[in-house]
Amino acid sequence: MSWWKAHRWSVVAIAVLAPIALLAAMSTGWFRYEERVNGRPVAVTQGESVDYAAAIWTLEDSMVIHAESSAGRDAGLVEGLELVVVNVRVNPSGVGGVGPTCEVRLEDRDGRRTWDRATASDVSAETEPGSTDHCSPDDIETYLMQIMFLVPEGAGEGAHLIVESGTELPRILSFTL
Amino acid sequence: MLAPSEQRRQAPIEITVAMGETGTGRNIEATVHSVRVADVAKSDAFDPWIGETNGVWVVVDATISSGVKPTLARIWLTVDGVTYQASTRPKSESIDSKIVSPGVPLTGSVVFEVPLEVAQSSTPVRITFGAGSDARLDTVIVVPVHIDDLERERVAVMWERKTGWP
Repeated sequence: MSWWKAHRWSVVAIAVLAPIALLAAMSTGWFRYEERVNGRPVAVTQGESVDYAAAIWTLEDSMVIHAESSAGRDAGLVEGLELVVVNVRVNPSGVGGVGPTCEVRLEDRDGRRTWDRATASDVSAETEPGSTDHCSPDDIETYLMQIMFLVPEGAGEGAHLIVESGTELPRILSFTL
Repeated sequence: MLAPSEQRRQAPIEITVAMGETGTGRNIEATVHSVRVADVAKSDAFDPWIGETNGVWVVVDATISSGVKPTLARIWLTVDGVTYQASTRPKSESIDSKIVSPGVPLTGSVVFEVPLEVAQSSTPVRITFGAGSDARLDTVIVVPVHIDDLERERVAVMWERKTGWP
């Protein structure tokens, strides 16, 4: 009997098990790295409320304004772009007399591209009276955060609003629009 | 001894395109529409500005955006191994050092104040677009342009900076 015939199953087992063992050993580090870079998203759907950074967060609604619509023309949108408008109700618990701080961004459906909030120099869309476009530790009463994102046409479909607060990382909120 | 230097190992990955073509990198996209050489550069938009120089102005009209996330777009010009940063004299009208986002085009001009010899050099100038302040190990878009055969204008008016294509 040749050496190969006697040991073939051992060789095959090593060839299969060694990479698996290596991957298993390295996966913990990889997931830790992935979590540090991209955060650990908590999925939140419209109407659902979630406790995060000493406040209750609720996605009230969202809409996409297309460039060719009358609202799009009023907002001064140029062809090929659209405006994603997101309304989030923030209800701070008021613990310690301060409201939550946060950073927001929009992620496309597959999480490959992200956008920061649009500024007044980007668009001239009307905002909801009394709303704000950011979190402030000074706000300890319930408020509406209305955030707008200028994105290429089609990017608003299935996008996610990401909210992150330094005190909660790596946990981040991912609102499905 | 044959190993590449640290600088070469970490050099940006260049994507070279011709004027009028769109170059796409990891997090930067750029199209150069036109290049002009002038004695005076000016901007008539929001923040009017007029710039005289002892050299010449190279005015680059371009559209830029990012690839995957918002980034600071940086633009520089290199000729014969010498790099010139975009002039900050036009203040807010330049498209250099502006935050650009994926798929959201920003069109306008960027100006370079260079010695006269640069405009007369037979070597093409390399207009380079990068994402962020550190281009190492990242892609940059390079557009080589012969400017020695361009007619020198008395006054070149910068394009108005705007979202969208020209």
